Amino acid sequence: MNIFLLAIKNSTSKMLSTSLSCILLALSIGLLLFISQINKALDHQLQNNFAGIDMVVGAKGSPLQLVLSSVFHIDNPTGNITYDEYTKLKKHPWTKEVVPISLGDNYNGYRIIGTTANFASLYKTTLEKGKNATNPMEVVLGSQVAEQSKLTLGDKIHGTHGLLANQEGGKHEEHMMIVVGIYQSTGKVIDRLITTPLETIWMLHHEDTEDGHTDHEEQHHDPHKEEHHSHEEEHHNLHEEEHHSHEGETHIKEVTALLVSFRNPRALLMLPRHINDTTGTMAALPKFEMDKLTQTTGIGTQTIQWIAYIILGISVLSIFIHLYKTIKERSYELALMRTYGASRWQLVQLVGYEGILITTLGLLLGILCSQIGLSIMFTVIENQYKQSITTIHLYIDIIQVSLILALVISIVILFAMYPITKMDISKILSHEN
Amino acid sequence: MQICCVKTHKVISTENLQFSYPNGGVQLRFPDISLDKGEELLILGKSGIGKTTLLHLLAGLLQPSTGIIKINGTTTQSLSNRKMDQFRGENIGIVFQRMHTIPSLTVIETLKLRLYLAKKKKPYTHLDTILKQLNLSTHKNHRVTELSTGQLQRLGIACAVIHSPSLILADEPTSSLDDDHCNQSIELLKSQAKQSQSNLIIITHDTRITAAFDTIITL
Repeated sequence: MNIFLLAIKNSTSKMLSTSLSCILLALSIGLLLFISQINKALDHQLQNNFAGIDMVVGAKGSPLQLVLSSVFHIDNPTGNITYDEYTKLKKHPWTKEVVPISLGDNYNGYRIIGTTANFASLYKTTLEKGKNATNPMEVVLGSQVAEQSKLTLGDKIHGTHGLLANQEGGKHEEHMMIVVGIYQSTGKVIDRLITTPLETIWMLHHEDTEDGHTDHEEQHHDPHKEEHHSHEEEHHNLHEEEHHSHEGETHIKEVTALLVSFRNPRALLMLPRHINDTTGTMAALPKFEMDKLTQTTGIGTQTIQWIAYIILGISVLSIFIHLYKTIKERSYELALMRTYGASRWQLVQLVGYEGILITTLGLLLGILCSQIGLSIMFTVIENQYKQSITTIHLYIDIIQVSLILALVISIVILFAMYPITKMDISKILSHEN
Repeated sequence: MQICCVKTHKVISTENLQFSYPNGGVQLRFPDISLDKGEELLILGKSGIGKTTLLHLLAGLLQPSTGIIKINGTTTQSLSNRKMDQFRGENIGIVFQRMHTIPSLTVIETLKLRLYLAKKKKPYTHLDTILKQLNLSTHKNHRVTELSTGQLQRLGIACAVIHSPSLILADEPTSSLDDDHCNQSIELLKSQAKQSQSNLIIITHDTRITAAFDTIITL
């Protein structure tokens, strides 16, 4: 028997009070770690996927939607623009690189992107296997697509209309695409994309248009879009107009968006405005749009963070009350221990150990809760958005929270232990007798 | 004529012991005490005369305003708080009128804690022997909250003698007991004190036990 064992015995003998303090502490630590990691993971994911793209040019509509659909590939595009816009912008002296992308099809929920060879260099990735897709109907898979779909070189796949799996849209049954390459893993959005030359998309959709199925019709009948993107309805008429204007001129080559990187900083100020004012297309700045988005969502996360701090305050207070009550209620026990030969320091140790035990248990439980919460959240995000997110420097968060907690709990323990220093053993024993 | 002087070693002695309460009230004066090894002493006194105060002074729980207390040759007032705690743990055992315990512990754990705090190591057989003598063997793994009043009192005695102290102090150990249990308790205390070769000082107002003691001081 020693002081530490006695502290464990004392803590477990008051299970209800100890558990309540532990659970409150675990809840606040769990929430703090969860929010911090979600923020960091999403921020890391955003920064990672900007991939040197300074500007996106697409059909007029919501700039945020354009960025989400063309840079992060998690929303529907605003529409199509003509291929001429690409050739014009490519020649502009302020642009360093312009990569066209054409969306509209998926394979098991993985987007098939019609693009040029430069697309992979945006994400600084190279081929792990095979070769680049240079001919129509050849595709290169992102690492995640290859891994999840168990596809390898030489496999043939059918694309499906629309951007989501199990979506009502015809399969391009007659057009088999062949896997000719697999990209190296980057942790970026390209891992979950299937790239193909622009010509593949044009071929598929040229024939579809002739059959009476245009990209735009697919877009307008996308149930996901109807459910989640009310803002798209605002642009419905615009799309209708575009759609009608395209009828009868199906041979006009189109792309969904242009991913642009600037040659010099002046372009950032001038070029988007110039495009928005003088052309029929829309320019959106990914960093600006994402800053706006995170500012809006930041209010929510900040609120949760404050709630977590309030719960932390309550839990710390509950630990203080637990310890203070322990000292007051057990004053005779503590006095008795002094008659057994225990020093003041040993009594201080006893109470300190109890506080440390509750705090350690609460901290471990909180870390466990946050890990379970994050793992559920990441699985949901991965299943729903095909985004693989992982924790970022979790140990730093844990160390930070532990240090803050250690400081606060030390102060609490010191305050709670104050009565021990003022304890009059003789008075306590005489009173009890 | 040959005179032989044998200087006996006093285990406990007090001189001109006085105590004043911090509020400046009554000043208590106590008679001198002097006990050789193994001697027993009964201190009798009415309620409110300062019996418990004397016990607390002897145990080092209170500091006298004047006078000297020597236990095993050590002047206890000269010890720092920390050293006094240690000294008390090693050399003194106290039996209280009502045995208060640490509810989270079992009987055996209570005794182990007592030995740990006294910084004394005793073999497990020693604990078993004491528990057997005090008829607590069958309850050694029971929580102290499950014990009867009589068992608690015996546990109190066990805690006071388990570390073989030089001095056992008992504060009103029989005041709430009937005659039979009163005699049993005193016999138990005396036998345990004898076995551990300790001095026993009982402080009480209970005159029923005077017959059991040769040396009595009345306050």
